[in-house]
Amino acid sequence: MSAGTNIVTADRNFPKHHDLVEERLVLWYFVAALTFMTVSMLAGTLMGLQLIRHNPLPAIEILSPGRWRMIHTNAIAYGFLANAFLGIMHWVIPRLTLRPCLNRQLSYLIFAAWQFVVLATAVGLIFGQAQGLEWGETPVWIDPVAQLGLLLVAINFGAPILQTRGPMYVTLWYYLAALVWTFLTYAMGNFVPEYFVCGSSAGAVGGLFIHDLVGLFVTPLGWGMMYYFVPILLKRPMWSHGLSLVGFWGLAFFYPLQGIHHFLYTPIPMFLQYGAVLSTIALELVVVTVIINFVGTLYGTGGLVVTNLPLRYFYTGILFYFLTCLQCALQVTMTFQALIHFTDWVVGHAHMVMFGVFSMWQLGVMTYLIPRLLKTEWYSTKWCEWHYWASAGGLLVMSGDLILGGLFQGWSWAALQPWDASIRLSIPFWSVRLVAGFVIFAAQILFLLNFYLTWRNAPRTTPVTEPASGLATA
Amino acid sequence: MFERKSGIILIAGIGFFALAFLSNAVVPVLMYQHMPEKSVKELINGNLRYQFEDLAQRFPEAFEKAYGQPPADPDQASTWYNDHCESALKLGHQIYVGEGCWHCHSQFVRPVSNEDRRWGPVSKSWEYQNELQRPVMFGTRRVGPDLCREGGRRSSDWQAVHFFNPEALSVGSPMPKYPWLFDGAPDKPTIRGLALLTYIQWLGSWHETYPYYEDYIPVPIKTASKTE
Amino acid sequence: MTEQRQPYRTHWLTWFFSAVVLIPTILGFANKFLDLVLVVQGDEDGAFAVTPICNYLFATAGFLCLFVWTATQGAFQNLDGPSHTMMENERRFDSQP
Repeated sequence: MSAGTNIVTADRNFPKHHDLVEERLVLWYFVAALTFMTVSMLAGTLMGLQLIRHNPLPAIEILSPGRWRMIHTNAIAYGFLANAFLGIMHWVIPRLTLRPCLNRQLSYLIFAAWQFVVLATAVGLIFGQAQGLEWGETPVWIDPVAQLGLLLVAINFGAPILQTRGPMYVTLWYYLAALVWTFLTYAMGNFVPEYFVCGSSAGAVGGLFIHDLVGLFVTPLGWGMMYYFVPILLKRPMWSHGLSLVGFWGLAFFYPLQGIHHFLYTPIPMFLQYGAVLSTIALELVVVTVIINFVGTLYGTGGLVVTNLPLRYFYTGILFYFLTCLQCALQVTMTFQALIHFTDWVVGHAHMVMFGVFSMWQLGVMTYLIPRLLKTEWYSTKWCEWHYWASAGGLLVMSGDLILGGLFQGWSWAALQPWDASIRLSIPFWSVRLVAGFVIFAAQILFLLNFYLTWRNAPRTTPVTEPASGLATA
Repeated sequence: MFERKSGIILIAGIGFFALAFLSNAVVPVLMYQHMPEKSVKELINGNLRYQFEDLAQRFPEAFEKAYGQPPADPDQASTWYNDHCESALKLGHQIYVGEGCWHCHSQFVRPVSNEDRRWGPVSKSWEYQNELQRPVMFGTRRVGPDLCREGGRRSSDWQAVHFFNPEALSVGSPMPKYPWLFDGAPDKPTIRGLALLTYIQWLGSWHETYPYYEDYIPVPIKTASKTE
Repeated sequence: MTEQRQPYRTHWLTWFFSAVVLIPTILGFANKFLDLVLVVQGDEDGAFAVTPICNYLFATAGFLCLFVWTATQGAFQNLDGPSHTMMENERRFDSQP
């Protein structure tokens, strides 16, 4: 086994970190990710203000809250999450495979192409060219470009993974599968219901797309990241590598089968809806094995979660992951769906998944990696603490508030109250959500400021700093 | 084979994805094969034509500015109205998608939660087998009411004022204003405004329960153009 | 087995937890499945109730066979190996100047 022989080889033959990891690119990805996150949160704020009828910029076509709502979701999915994942993969994959990515120029080309895709999506949405598919509103003319970009990403990262010999570490399993899945999911969602099938069948494909985008793009990249960073921060291997593979195969099998649970009680055939519900509940058992594994890894060193900020981010995300999955198993049943479908419950759930889990993990990784990349300590660790508490607290309030509000909306509708009654009762919930949103927003701005000031402190001798100041101010 | 890279790519990456696609997407596609997709032209029905001609009477200047004058000959006028109705429906759908209406308004009535009593008959698959439901506009959130039975419930006047300034008609509504669909006043819809009005009035027009807000007697085209 | 011997307690806990999870799950599943079979017997259109479950059972059974076959072919011999290799590589990277 050559994986074993690597250990035996003398240390001077061991590849050098700076030959493998393109650190500048990792930083660029982080800057891009945080920039798009700011845009997304501006958009979310606009929609939040509109809902409580305090839109400061009403009746302007290119600032229409309906259009900016789509920017909110797309900028998070493709601008923040995707960029941060790509940056993190540029760090993780070379270090795990002991090989650089396929091609340095290609890496930079992908970076530029992806920023083009995200910016073009935003511009297209502002000018009302959305595609009628949730999470896939990317205007149809960008879809082929994005598809090509994803292919290049798969080739660039796939090459080092495929060159490794012997059994792979679980992170690479997740990454390798995710590279295939993301490409297939994007192709299925953006082309099939747009050009080939209509009506209920398009609904089934659309549900599959919404679901796979979270389940086969974000989730495997997220867990892959956790399986890498949690052990190295705890300085001990995963409790059970075998159990983590059970989690992988469970996710691979059960996750894609659930798409239709986003459209229960629609004209989609009932037996397919039941199938999706069953598969969702089955996945929760898999999730429990993953959680057990991570708690097992932490066992005995739990104090580190209090003292080590990145670890605290990770385990907060894991806790929220457990909560969302538990919620999932309940809300996917027909009984719950009758009440909570169409309400803010679902919006609360989505925020808990996208921000509470995956964004928290990525922010944790950024908190850990940025000082290493810039070769200097954080400008203010106190601000980092504030960033954590405001993010986690704001998110907890926001999703809790929306989930509760959703129940009230559902009951109001079922009781055949006049429609405006459901709006009136939502106003307090929407107001609290907005405040929580402002707290989260402020936290991210503080983080960005901290990032910028840290970058200014970074030693000038590293090649990283040359384009640095210009980028950080942008 | 489960530990190999080819196993991960072929079984987990492609195999399971394909299994899910087959069972969750190809099955409904095959089940609805007997209901072919209708084109926009085939969607134009009596109710919608009435609404479209009604727009010509309610907003004569705006209508003429957008589409010009109908031909004098009744037969030709009929095709003329049909053609413009088709293009209005398409544009209206495009605006409905582009403005993100579908993120706050759903388009299906569920058999639960008393929905059929609030909105009308429960949605059936055949209603969605058309070009304008590709991708389908089911929606996942209801900030505002469901719209799949909205057509004919309110007059186009009401809808126009509501688009222009929602709060003028439904007090406390969180819906944004859409003044860019009008030339400065609710009685002057632009071609985009007329298109969206057509689309809204189309929703549910295929149903026998299409509600008429006023007595609907089909008006011969001749008399319609005379009153202008 | 190349790895060190598992401590007795872990072994015992594994069996205990499998029992705690599996016995109620199997009972609950069998109970519900019988319910659904009764639905099928009483209702012509009831097939929707058991079809997805049967499909999943078939797929899972096939998967299990594949899994057992792979294990007999020599996979899963050193499950925690990659995990230790990873930690060792990380240590080497971090000790670089």
